[in-house]
Amino acid sequence: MNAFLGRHKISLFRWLVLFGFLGFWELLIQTGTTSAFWTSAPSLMAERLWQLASSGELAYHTWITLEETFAGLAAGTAAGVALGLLIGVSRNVGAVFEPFVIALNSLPRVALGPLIVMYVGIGFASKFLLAFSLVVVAIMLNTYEGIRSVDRTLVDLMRKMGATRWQTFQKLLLPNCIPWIFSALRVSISFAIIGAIVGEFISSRAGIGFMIDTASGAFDTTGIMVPLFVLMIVAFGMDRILVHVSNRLLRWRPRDAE
Amino acid sequence: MRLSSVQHAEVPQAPDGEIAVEVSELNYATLDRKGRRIDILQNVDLRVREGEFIAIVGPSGCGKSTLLNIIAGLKPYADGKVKVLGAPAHGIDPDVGYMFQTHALLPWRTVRRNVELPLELTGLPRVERLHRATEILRQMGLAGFEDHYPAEISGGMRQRVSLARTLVAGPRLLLMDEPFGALDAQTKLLIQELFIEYWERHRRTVIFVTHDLAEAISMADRVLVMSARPACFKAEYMVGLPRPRSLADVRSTRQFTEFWDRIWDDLRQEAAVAMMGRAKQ
Repeated sequence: MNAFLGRHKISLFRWLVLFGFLGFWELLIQTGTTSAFWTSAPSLMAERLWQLASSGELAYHTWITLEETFAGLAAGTAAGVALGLLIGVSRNVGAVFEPFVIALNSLPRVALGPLIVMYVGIGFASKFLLAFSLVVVAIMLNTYEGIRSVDRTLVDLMRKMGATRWQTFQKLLLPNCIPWIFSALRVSISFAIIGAIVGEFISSRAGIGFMIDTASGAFDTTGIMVPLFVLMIVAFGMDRILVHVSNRLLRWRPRDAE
Repeated sequence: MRLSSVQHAEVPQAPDGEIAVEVSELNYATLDRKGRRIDILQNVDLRVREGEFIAIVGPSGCGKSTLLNIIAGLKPYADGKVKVLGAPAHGIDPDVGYMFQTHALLPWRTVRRNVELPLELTGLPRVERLHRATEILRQMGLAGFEDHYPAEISGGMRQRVSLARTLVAGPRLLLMDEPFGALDAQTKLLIQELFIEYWERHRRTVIFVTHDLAEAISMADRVLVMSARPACFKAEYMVGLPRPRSLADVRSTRQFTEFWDRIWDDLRQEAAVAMMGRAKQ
């Protein structure tokens, strides 16, 4: 028993924290200390979650948001890596574009929302573009950094071994970027979701952001909380999967770097 | 160049005429930040016979690495003549192997894939690469570690992998820039023994830069002393110690101690000049 406790201490406390929090929340509502109108309650949310799930409504809206997120993430990553490599490999191109990229990065991209809606309307394209715009710069900057951070000794080594420019790129610079791209991907998952949701807030007919927006109009706290909860679970799951994949792919790194 | 006359006769040598590296009247200068000219190498002459092991010692920062880079064909030089393996130094040459002080392994490649790298660059087929990498790793005492990543092995092992990578393509000329300089004393001795044993079997031409006198004397056929900047060869010692050498035994011989004292005598003046020069800057 003690050995079991030792090994599972952390996860045990995690569950304690989770249930303690939910229990306390529920207790506040049941004893009438706070009003369910403002904070909803775990029991109310569970009930609503069940309703929305069994009617298929939840899956529909979640799927819409996921589509926007994934499309933005995939396209943003592809374009970001390509651009990052381009400005990283050519010293001149990099030097010319660096200040513009930084300036663009410091612009809060969600503020582009209204402009994007004006250009492409309120359909899929506006959410996709918003997610894309958030992801592409983050990935590009990290890819660029991945190229620039390469150990000069290794570049020197490749030259001394007679590597061509292409070989140096393919065998040294590109692999050197991979950890950088993965760490950018991790933040980009949240960025892509932000882009999709904000796009839906601005104007939409479906999606998690649409659910939240609609519920907010009706002062339906539970209706806001449930999609938020689902969103959190989805983002958490995506992050776990990514961490798992990157640990597998980057197992060459020293353990303490994790 | 002042030539030492010690023990000229007994040096084991490749037949005359086969010159692997020939440097004559080489001058090299760079500009500092303010655009002033700094002479790095001045009137450097060097002849290395095929199969000869020479060591170059000199004060730090004197231009030893610059000379190696020029011989490797990676630094353009304006003034002088450099012939490597019968042709002007020209960079890309699989017959020239290079080794640094840092292991310079690619962290995402396993030990074996790191060693295969030079063979990959010349487009050798996969099976052949695998075979040759496995063989050289065995010779370097790394059998069983082929699939480890560099982060998983010790510093001494990494340097052995680096050595294996330098040797795997079977280069005729080895340019080694303080290759064992960063290792602790015991590890260094072990890797020196490993290397000298390999060398005595294969007799490649070696130009070995070091600031460790004991290393230079115990391994090389000939030790050249470089002066402080602008550098040229100040003295030359034929090390007539018999081969095959046991590095541990060599160090306790009277000749070794004699060489050590004489070379250090030359070197200390240069080292002092170099140190004062740096203090002034």
